[in-house]
Amino acid sequence: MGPRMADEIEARLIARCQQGDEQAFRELVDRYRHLVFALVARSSPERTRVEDLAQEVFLRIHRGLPYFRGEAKLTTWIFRIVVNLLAQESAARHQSREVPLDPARPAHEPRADDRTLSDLELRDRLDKAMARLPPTYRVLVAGHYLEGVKYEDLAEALDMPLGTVKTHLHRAKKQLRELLETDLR
Amino acid sequence: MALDEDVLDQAIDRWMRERPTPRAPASFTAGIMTRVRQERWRSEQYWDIGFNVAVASGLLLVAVGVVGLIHVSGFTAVGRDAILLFAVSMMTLADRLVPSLPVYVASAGLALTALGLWWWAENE
Repeated sequence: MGPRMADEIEARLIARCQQGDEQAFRELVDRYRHLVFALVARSSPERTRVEDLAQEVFLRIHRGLPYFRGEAKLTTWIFRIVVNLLAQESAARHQSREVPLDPARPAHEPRADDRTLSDLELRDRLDKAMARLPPTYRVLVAGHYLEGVKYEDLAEALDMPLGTVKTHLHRAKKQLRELLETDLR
Repeated sequence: MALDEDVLDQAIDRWMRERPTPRAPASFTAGIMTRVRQERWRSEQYWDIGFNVAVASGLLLVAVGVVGLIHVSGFTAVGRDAILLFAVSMMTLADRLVPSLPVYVASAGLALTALGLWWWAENE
């Protein structure tokens, strides 16, 4: 299927949704559920609320569809909703409360110089470091490594030029590394 | 793995690429549709309440308007006089009827007896 045909199918699906066709909205959810779920799961530090947040994204889509005029791509609009939701959640969750990299262990605990990290441990620390990034950075990093997410869509969703998105992504990765380094030293 | 920038960068990159993509559970779509229906139902409830309140307010306004109009136009005074007139005329009528009441009762009894006899004769 060519991109033009895919666009037409999507436009028809949106039109049906706008007419209140419940089956069409179900199709739309089925089409994007894995992408949205993965993006939220990777971007949200609240692992227990991933499903709830991903569902909230679709509820917002449902509420906003009557006003969607197709000026932006649907994926762009969805990413924008995800970014806004995560930013709101982040602001509501804590104004300044930081998620400790490892709450069970004090940051100043001495460690062996020749310490190596298992993949499992690194993953755990990475998740916690990700949680400390600003929401926009989290979405950028998560989106960058997810299949089906394009730089262009992220740039449009975040209202940034493509170059700025790449710069932000670079900074986000750097910040991620620094957070890990701080924790490991 | 030492704490070298490049190594750490590579480890982050590798891990990010290799980790399995989270997938929405099977019940995800059904859950959303349930929430959509609940939301729609709630919104309809609000519309219903709003509509009922609007209708009730409208009726109240009409009633208040009619009462106000009657009051302003002096219709209430006319109404009061009309009721009084009706009551007086009814009392006058009753006063006239009371003396000849036995005659009316007797004639009504005779008429009913005659009708009863006629009905009996027809059946026989």
